[in-house]
Amino acid sequence: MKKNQEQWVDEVMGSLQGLQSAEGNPYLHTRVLARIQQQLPDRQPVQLKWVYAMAGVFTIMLLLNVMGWSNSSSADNASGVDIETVINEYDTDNSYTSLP
Amino acid sequence: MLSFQQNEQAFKDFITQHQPRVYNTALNLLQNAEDAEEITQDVFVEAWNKAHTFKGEAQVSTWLYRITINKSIDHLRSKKRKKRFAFLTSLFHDSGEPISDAGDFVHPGVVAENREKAAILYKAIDKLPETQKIAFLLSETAGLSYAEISEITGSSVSSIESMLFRARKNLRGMLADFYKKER
Repeated sequence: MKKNQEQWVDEVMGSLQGLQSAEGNPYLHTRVLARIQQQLPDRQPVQLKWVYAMAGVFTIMLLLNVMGWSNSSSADNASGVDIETVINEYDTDNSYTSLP
Repeated sequence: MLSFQQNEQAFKDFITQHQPRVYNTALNLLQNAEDAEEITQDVFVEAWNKAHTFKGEAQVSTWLYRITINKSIDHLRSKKRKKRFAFLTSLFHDSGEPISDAGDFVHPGVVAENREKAAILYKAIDKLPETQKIAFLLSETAGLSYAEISEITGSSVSSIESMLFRARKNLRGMLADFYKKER
């Protein structure tokens, strides 16, 4: 029994002996070349300088936005002080909003 | 350095020369003719795209074996992921489609009287860990030496010896179990 099993395992292990090469697709080169042709427009490399230029432009735009926002915030504060000053100057109170 | 960009005929000759090696390696690893065909195309497209990176330190065949093995292993992993996902979805929705497509693959170049036994061997090979599977197939089907397999896989010759020893031991174990169950 054990001997039969060993013999069978040896036969299975040796079953790839004499393996012949399988024939692939005879039109492989045509298909490969077609795929290469398809990918050519996508393969135009993006030059690194343009990547850096775009990154620079976005950074500048971001900085300008931040600066603009912070300036408008401080302008709002300044105008708030001005209104208080005007109220004090003219000695008015909040009742000016109420109806007579 | 390889360059095909200006010479289509040279590339055609290159494909004709190396196609059997690439196709048979992919076929043995993937155990599926359609997948092997697709991977063979991928390998030659990559060879075209990356020819400029080949510096001639290794043989062209070694370089192609590496690309073929990497692409085949990626393909197998992606298939396994899909199978796992299909299994999970089948738990919630039974589409009636089989989860596994593992069939009785036999390489078409196997000698006729060995086909039945070779099919059993391929099933067992499919269950080997990746590194052992690669080393075993390169040794047994492509007839490469330990040194050549070492150069392709980037492992030392001694680890290739060890991988092959474990691969054969594992295969014999699986086959013995199969014999006990089926005979």
